[in-house]
Amino acid sequence: MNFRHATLMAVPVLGAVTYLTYLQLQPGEVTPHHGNAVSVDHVPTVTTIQGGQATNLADLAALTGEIDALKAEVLALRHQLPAQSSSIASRADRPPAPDVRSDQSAREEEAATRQEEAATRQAQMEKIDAAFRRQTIDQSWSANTTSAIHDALNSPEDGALQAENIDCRSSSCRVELHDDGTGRLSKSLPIVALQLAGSMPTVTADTIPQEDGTSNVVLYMSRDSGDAGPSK
Amino acid sequence: MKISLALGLAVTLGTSALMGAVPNTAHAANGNHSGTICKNYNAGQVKDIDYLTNGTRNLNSSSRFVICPLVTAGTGNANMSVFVDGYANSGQTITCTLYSYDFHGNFLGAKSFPSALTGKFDVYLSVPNGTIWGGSSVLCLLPGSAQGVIYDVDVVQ
Repeated sequence: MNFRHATLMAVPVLGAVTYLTYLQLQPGEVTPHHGNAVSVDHVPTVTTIQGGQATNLADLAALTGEIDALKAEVLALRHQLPAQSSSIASRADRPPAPDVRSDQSAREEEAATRQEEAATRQAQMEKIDAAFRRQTIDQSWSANTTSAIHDALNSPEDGALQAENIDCRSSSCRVELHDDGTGRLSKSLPIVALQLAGSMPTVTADTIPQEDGTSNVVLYMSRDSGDAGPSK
Repeated sequence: MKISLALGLAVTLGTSALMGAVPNTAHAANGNHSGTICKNYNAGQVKDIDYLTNGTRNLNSSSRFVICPLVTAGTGNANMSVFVDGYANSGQTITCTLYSYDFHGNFLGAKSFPSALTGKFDVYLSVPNGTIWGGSSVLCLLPGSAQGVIYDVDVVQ
């Protein structure tokens, strides 16, 4: 058998296998023109033999079996796919469930930190107040500085600020101001502090809430400029 | 094969050494603010304040306050510290104050330039922070007629 004969034999065999495969991979049901539904399972297997060549029927039967198995597998996958798609879509559309426990613990942690900060701040203010009260009074510096503070409190364009009390010792002053909550103090106080910067560059403030909802702001103003700080 | 093994071992050891050399302490980055963030402190003076690409100045013939908001990462540092950089022409001065507030808006403290400054300046200011949730700003008094510029306010964290 030369190459030409082998080719002539192979062409019809390949044609038959291709046709069988095509038939087996068709959808489960086809509707003929007569309107009767016919399952491809019942379509008879057609083996076309051309050129009078014998075909290995056993191999064809094996192939048919394999194709049937593949077809069943494809049909099963087709049935699974819609269910999986809807499941994936619904999961993707759903917002992630909030982590209630971690959210709550974060809030609790934040509240605890704020309480801790407030306690630390209170302790610092008590130290500053105690240090202020330990100072002796330098009469000259106290008088001059008190006068300068009065001048600065009277200078804001939005209106003069009235101090409840001004107490200057030897290196710092305790100035108590009432904040009526209108924002006038908030607006003017920074300008007062800036105007006094030359003589008292350091200010530490404590806010004391009052029963009527307003507050008193206590300023500890020091002529100590403190740490010069690092250089760049 | 031996070469591949040796190479893989070297890469693994090198990576481990590098990871070990990197400090495991977290540090917040410094926050550099261009002076152009500074704006008029008083509403009626909005047209007096002028901006350059490298800072802010006052065009009015009188001095004007500008307020510079500061953005920080809330690191819980005990102090709020900044460098304020600017320039005032000869015979003119600039003075600035750093202010710190808690999350209720309560005034915590302030630190000012030790004196009003002339020429180029780079001044360090630091105030007790008190809270990681508060806010800070710098208020500066600029000379009139474009005689001074705030270049930047750099937060040190």
